[in-house]
Amino acid sequence: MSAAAALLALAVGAGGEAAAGDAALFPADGVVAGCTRTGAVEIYTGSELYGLIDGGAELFLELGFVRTTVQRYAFAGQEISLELYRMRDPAAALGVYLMKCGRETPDRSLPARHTVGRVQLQLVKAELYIAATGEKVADGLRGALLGLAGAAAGGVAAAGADPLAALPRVGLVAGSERLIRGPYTLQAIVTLGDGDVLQLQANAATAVAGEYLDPDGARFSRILADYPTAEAAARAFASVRDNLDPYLTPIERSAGRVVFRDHAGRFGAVVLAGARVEVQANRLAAP
Amino acid sequence: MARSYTSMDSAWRMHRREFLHALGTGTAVAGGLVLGVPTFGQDTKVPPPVETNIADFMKVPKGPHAIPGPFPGRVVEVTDRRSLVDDKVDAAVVAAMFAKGVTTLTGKSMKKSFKKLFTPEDVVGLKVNPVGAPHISTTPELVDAVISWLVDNGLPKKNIVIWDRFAPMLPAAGYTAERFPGIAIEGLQTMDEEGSSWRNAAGKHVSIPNFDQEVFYFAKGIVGKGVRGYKDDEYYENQHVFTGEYSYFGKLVTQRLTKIVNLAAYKNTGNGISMATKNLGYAAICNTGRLHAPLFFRVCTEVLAAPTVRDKLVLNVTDGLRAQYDGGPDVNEQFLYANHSLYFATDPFAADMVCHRQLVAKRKAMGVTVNEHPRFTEYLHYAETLGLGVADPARITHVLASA
Repeated sequence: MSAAAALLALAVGAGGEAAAGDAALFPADGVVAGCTRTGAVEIYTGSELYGLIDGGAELFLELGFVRTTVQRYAFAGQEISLELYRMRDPAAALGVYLMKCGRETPDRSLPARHTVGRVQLQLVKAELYIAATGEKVADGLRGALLGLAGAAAGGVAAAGADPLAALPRVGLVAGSERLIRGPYTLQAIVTLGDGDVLQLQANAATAVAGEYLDPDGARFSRILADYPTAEAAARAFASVRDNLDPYLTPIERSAGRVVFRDHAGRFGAVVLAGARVEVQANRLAAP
Repeated sequence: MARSYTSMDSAWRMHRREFLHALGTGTAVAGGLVLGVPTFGQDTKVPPPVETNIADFMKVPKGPHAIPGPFPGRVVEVTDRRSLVDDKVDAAVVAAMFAKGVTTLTGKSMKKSFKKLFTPEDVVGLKVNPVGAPHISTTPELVDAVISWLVDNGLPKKNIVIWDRFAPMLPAAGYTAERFPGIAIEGLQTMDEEGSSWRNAAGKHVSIPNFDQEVFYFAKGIVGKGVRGYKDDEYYENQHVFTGEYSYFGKLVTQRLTKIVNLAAYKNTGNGISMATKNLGYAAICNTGRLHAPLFFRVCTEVLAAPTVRDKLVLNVTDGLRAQYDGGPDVNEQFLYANHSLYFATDPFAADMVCHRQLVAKRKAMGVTVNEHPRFTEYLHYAETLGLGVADPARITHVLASA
């Protein structure tokens, strides 16, 4: 265990709950060549996640975090940490993965959606986001990461519906898809106002987002938030309209539409349509 | 320092308004905005501005070496692609880059540069960032170069301290007695002798004596109890030593160091950056967990405004040999890249503005959606209004050099 990991484990009380978490998914010693389990399984639930992650727990908590189960493996003189993040639903797991995967570099040998580098692998399958991380670049490490994560994911059934199904495909920039469930994930794209201004948390709603190319080839951001009812969507629209960030200047307001100009002179709009609120931002011209 | 709390809230609001007007928005601002990552689950009400003791800091006359130092708004970027090859650092190249950076910044030789910023009697703290080692932390080879410069110009090794807030993280980043013989390596927060507990036999935090309870950053009503993200208050106290409205400065900073060299890593934190000002702002004091949600970036300005930091911080070198453009402050290999650059400034706010703009450009080039809301750089402009640095890009001189 690295000094930092030891420090964190100690701070969280060694994560020492007796519950097994997802420990059954961890491959046994020798299942992956050269990998032997070291130490006890650690389990982090709720805000204990801050003890495992330095500065990134908000993403998990906002999207819907259940627990993390951690097993460390000894491999060729270093330690591999295999972390299984069980999220509330497949959308939450995919939302985390999309924020963290960057440009994906998958390996053909592993069927689940993943990206793998020299010391780190990230994978998403159903409600699980999996991270396998080594300490330093070494021969065989990549294969060990693939083996460990693949074995863990093998015990999980694939998800059904695509959480991104609501996102229009025409003009969508590949790799730009995101899932939004509150201010933290919204802020990665645009600041519309403070707090849960889109009322996604209040309604347990999920928004999908992506970058699009307009007919002139310019990129802009698009967010589609679907609410349980048209009334909830109307309240969310009113929340944005009435609490619009002070750096956004409204240039058009009507019953179901606000058009604004941002601090940099770009344009955006918030539009109410039934049970959906659509946001566009970073446009070169008013939509 | 007397415990009087003349509010700077009105000044803070004024700075925000001035900045808005400077942008030509003409938008009135009602109250303060939370500058950091929005509090999870908060409603849409704007919280009232937080009263701090920044006014007390600013009442103290600046010392002769106070930031922004002799070169306000001047940032030297030295790039050499030989510095990092196949993820291996070339110490000789880094040493040459360091010399080029210092001499280009000051316009003087290394010897004269030393004399401008230090005396042989100084006790110099080298503030490193060990978090994220070995992928994105302050490179030991850069620290070697700084030490060589100091020692070559007459500073005794015993007068140099490599430090960070958390002692247990330093060895993993390469900061050990074996690697740096004769140099003190210290953290403000330590563990018991066995390295297994934050508490002593009496249940007290072992690091309490390491903090100077006469020198503090105060934030009214913001306490380390019930802070979101911590399992319970005991857990918070383990990590942050104290839990009240005060964040005490480390005695190392207030009582022993006479100069500070700030050696930050180069990475993002959400839409902002975690570089020079955060490297010190969140490391010179304890009890910072309470500050993240309400005062995240403001701390990066106001802690550096404290005389005990402001008057000693003579040089900032941001280690951009390795860099991370997204996913920070966590380490994420997907976003790491070789940047091959070091950034030199006596003005930490100018350094951060240059690096922030570079990182935004990198994020865009890599296809990342970038939220460029001004809230992510307002703290730098706030520092400029306090006379601590230059943040206006039009007034920053960004010098490019190669070793």
